[in-house]
Amino acid sequence: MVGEIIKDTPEKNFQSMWDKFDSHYGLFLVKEIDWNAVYASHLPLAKVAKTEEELFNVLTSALSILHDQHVNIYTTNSKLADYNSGHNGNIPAQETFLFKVVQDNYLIEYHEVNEDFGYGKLTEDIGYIHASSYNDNLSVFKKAMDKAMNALASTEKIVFDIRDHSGGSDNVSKYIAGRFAKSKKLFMTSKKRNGPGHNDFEGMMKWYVEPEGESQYTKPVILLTTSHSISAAETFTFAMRENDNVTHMGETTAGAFSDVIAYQLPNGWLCTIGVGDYRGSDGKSYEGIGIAPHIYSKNLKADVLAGVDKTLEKAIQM
Amino acid sequence: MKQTKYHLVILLFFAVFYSSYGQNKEPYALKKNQFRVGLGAGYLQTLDLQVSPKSYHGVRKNLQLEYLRKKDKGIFTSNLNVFFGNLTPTSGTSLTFYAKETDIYGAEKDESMTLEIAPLGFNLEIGYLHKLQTLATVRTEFYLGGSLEENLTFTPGFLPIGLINYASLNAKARFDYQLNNGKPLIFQLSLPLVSAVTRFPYHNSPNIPGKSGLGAFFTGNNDIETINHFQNIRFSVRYNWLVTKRIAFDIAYEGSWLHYYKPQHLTQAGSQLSLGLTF
Repeated sequence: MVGEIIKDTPEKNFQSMWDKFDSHYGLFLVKEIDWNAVYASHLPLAKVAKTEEELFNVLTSALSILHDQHVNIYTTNSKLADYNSGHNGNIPAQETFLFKVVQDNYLIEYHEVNEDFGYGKLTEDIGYIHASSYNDNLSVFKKAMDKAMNALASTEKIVFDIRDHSGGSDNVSKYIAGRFAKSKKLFMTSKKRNGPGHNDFEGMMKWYVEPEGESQYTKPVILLTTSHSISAAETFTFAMRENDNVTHMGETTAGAFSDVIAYQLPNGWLCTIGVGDYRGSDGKSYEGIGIAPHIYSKNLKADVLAGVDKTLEKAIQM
Repeated sequence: MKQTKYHLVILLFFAVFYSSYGQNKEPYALKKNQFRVGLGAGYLQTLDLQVSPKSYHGVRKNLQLEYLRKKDKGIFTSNLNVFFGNLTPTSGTSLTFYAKETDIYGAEKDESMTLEIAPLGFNLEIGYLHKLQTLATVRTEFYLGGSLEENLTFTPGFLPIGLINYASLNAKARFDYQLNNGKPLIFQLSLPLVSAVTRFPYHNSPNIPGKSGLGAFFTGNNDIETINHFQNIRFSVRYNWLVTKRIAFDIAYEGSWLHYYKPQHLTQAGSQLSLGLTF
């Protein structure tokens, strides 16, 4: 009644996935990927695939070439589960940070605004903000930041911890970074696919960080990141680093900035596709590279398991 | 105790209607001002190639509020229709997806996530139908006219299937036929002549500095379309199965077919039954 449905065969599933990436993926040119070559090498494999597992192997092999943490496949088969292109497999455990360690062993007070955001104090003079995603509405974060800024206004510095931040809205990133800004500065540009050619992009958008909200915290801020800080955590890092009072410390970020869409394959599996080309204020793409901190510090798994967060200790001492 | 509650509800029901009769003593069929409250449920099938090559189907429920003003030369109508529902794939694919997670202690965990695709929205329409006196008979009335309509269908979540906004100038026709039992059967046909249609942009991910999601959705994604490119054809028939002097109960069927081609084809077909009370 509403049109023809593509047949669910391994070949059609591969074709459907390849087509969608071909028409929408934003980083073929940045990553210098020959997507037609991927088609030529993988279509014969898809044609002879017989089982879900064989199809999964063909699809994941094709996507591994993108080496992009924003590219995933989620299957409806519990044995196959999911695949992440950036990790060429499942997303590994985060071993260099555990928020519970901070909460149990370092914070003298903590106020959880919601499951993604909270604030407190490490000492009477050092404030602490923890954000693990920016997935809610901007208005939620405006209220949360008002509370945090009021509570931490008298501190001498703030440690802003996004070491387990999984992303969200770039507009939330822009707003929260603006609560620490003295002036307006370009922090990022973005453009997204608007046509079938790999170089078909809509006009470039410029993202500025500028003073936001009723008050701004312009005393020193230490921003903590890890390789699990991804997507909007990284656009937030771009924005925060434009503020003169911010020192970026920890590990290099994940290196996956673009907005992501979901697309369903004929067999019902989902794939996620980064549709944009995001750049820093210097015009460079950090996709697949990540943002290196001003001060590098990486916790050891053994320390974290022992309840010690040496990166945080360094941030406190700075 | 329960019985007492029911009695109170019934008393309240009659109190509301008898108070409205007091204000308007004309018989139902001749009343100039008519209000209708309706409840409907329908089957909807959707294919949104921007998100999935799979077709989805489900039941959509709605609440209809209508005000109609009859004049000698025509009918002024205004409708508000609020709807919500659920969509599942037409063929047997599951919407439960799996992911493997490992924590810092090395424990592996199988995570599953079941997607709910639940479109909701509203439709607001204001129109005028002009009575064609020359075609009228004792039993029939024929009207032609138009309407202005605004419709938003929003599908929150990971797969925004069927998300669309349109504001249309519609051509409408209405044909009333009085049956032997004296009850009217009302046929209506509506199709858009010109529409401002908003869908997600090509990349399916509107995100503009300083703008909300809704603001970004309506920025740069609006296209003026004629019926060549945006089709939204609706046919309805309504039968007033219980008519008193002052009120009428009706049952109505509506069939609809919508198609838009940008950025990729969206096609919807629906079939709905509703029950209404006019007073």
